[in-house]
Amino acid sequence: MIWWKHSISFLSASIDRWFSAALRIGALLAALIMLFILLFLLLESWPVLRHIALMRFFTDEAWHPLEDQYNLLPMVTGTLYASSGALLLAIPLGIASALFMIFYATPRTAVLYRRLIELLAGIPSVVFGFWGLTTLVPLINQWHPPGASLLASILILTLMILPTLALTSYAALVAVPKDYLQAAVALGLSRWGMIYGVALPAARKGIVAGILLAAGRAIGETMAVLMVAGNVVQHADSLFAPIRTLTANIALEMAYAMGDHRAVLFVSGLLLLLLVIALTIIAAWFGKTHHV
Amino acid sequence: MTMETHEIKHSTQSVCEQPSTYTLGPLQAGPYCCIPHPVIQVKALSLFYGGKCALDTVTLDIYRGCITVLIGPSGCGKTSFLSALNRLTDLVPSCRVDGTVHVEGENIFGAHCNLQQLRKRIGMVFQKPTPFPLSIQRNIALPLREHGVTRQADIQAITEQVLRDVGLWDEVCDRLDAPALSLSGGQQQRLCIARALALNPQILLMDEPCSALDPIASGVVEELINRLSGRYTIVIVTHNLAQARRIANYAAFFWVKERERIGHLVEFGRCQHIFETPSDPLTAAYVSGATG
Amino acid sequence: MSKLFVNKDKMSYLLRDLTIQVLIYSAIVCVSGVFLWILFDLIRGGSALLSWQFLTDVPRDAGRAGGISSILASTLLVLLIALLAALPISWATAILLTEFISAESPFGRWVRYSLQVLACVPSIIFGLFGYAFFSLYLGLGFSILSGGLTLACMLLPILVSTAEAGLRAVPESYRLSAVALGMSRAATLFHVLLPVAAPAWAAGLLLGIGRAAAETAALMFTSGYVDRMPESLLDSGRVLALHIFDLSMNVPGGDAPAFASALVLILLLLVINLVAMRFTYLWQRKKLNAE
Repeated sequence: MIWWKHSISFLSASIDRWFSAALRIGALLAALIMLFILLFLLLESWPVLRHIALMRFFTDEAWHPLEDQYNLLPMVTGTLYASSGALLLAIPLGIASALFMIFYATPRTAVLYRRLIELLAGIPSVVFGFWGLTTLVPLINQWHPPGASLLASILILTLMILPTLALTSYAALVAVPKDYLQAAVALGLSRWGMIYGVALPAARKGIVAGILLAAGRAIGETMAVLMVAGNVVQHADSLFAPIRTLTANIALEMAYAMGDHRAVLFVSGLLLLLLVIALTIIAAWFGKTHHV
Repeated sequence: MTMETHEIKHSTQSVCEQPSTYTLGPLQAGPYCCIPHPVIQVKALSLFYGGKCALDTVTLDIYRGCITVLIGPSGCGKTSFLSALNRLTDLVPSCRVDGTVHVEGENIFGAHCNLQQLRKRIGMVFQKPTPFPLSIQRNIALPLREHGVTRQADIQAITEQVLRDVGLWDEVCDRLDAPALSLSGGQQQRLCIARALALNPQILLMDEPCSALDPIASGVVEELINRLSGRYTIVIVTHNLAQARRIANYAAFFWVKERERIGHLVEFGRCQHIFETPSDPLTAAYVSGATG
Repeated sequence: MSKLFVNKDKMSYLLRDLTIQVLIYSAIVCVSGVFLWILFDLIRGGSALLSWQFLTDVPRDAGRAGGISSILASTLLVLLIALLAALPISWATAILLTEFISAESPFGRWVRYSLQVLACVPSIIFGLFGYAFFSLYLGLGFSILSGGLTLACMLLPILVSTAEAGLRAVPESYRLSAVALGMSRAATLFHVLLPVAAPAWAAGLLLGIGRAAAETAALMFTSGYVDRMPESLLDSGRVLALHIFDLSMNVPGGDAPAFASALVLILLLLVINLVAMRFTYLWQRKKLNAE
């Protein structure tokens, strides 16, 4: 018999145990980072949170950090306007792209289009911002000065989140079992009937998850918006008015901020983080209720 | 290839003292391989999935060197029963097992059971062919290495031996490095059997090994199973009653109660008994094709 | 019975399908048009200055003249640090979550949930955290090390989720039959699951590299603005993306080198993608035909 000269099974069982322990340490580290981020943002913003009432961030007269005036509201609205505008444009375009790739294009065109979208998903935000600064802003300036405006940031953000939306919707739609679609076709449904009646509902969860992801990205985007938005602290009264977002504010002022001013920037970071966490919780909740 | 000699704890009791939950057929003298030495003794085995009972107190013996077929309608717990025998039920987090299974006198649900050794001793073949996405040769070499066979010459010798055993050698000997997934369905299934045989098991569990194959491939596999009997103890689940009748020494008939959806063992005995003179009317109806 | 099915709607259905098709096609034309416009602009603007000398020269006059060699060196170092720190942790986490513990266990849930939240954290927040933790608390200052570690935190969720998805896509039957053959979990993982999941892992790695190379906001306050050639990991180093930002916003007359740098950055991302794809393909073939 050449079979069982020796057995390493016991050895491999103990390897399994060690391996599992090592993995646990890694996972623990990964999970702790989120807590660390919260902890350090709290720590850095604590000096201000201790002696400034929270409401002052919304009721102060203006944003004059050097004169102890900390009104964050214009930045909050700037962020909300820009990201909701971008979502409004990007959602239909993104879903249309996904539908095109799956149901309308020939396989070759679909692959080509997907490569294009993937290429654009890989373009750094700073490049989008740079393109906006050198091409889009002058164009808008010709139409309605000053150019660097809410509109410019909406358009740039749309371009940036569109690949995310298109690719996540695509993934969700591809995952719809072929049987459903075949059954729909066998029942004599038209193409749009099949898409609207079967494919989209079946992929809804994934698409919504993609939208929330894109929303998070739009809210948190810094560089591109910083480069095209004009960065004037004000409530936008038209599409052509320059705005400043929360993220841009941090990026602009962190370099020279001291004392309370610096802590307030951390507070606005905390605010941003909480906004995004809230979004995540809603997404998780939505996923759960949809699942049942 | 010789059988390893093992101390068999002779327990005639388990044959005689059957609980009254099912009828035991008369034990006649069978072919020499079928002198009823129980290799596996299952006592009051119940399976629960998330608190819901799937299989209710099954007690039966599997005899050395015999083919035992498990028959019954879908959902009666045959497959669950089979996977309890080598503790694949461990992989289902919600699955709980009551009762005992003794293999060669050792309780496999005991705390000191070496799972890897157990699964080496009890090979398993699944309904669908499950070759790994590796080359043909590596499919067999991988588990061998894992169990401590490291010399290349040994591995090659075993590979040739088991491939000959399943009648695959002549078909693939010139392309052992081809991907296993390039084989036909029947060949893949025979490769899976060879892979199980390479570990020199005493017992083979087969979960409907022919149901995913075409009739010709199915015939080849069936003939293979016939050839393997005597050398190995085989427990096989099948829906094909004709096949069961052709190959079995012993048969166990499972049934599922309509309302509770709980599977249980109705009758166990020699093949002739179950198929020709069953004691239970349910069995009679099922094997004659009247129900199920 | 046949009375129930009226044929008069057929025309309107056709019209509806057609309208939607036209809408979708025009959306596609718009999107492709704009994107091609961007690419065209970048290539036209960047190719003027792009040359071997641009890549190998150090920047002079705040980047208006000279090249970007020191910038490239810093970028690669930051990327390297980020991947070295993030890969082991994230792959370990993915393996643990899929193969070793139940997704429903408290620990599994907690890890998954915190990664889910981490994935949504904006990069500027990572910048703030990296500044507060790595630069100030750990005393690494404005340095490549601190920037790389900040990026590593940022990459974790994407690396974990892609690796996890890759492992989950492996058919359950492979695991079942590996267990039925008495193989240990570690061996099953290395010999069966990982080769199957490798393309997905590589794709995740690519996404990670892409995101890291493109990152600007997280590095503004961690790896810093200094455009000298880095001499150690504790030196401050300006990455390529930040260089583009600085040239276009803070340096009047910096547009031409900014264009060229943008083109370099995009080409770099492209090359990384192609190389890694090729590598995955070869590796997979080798694994399939091994021995």
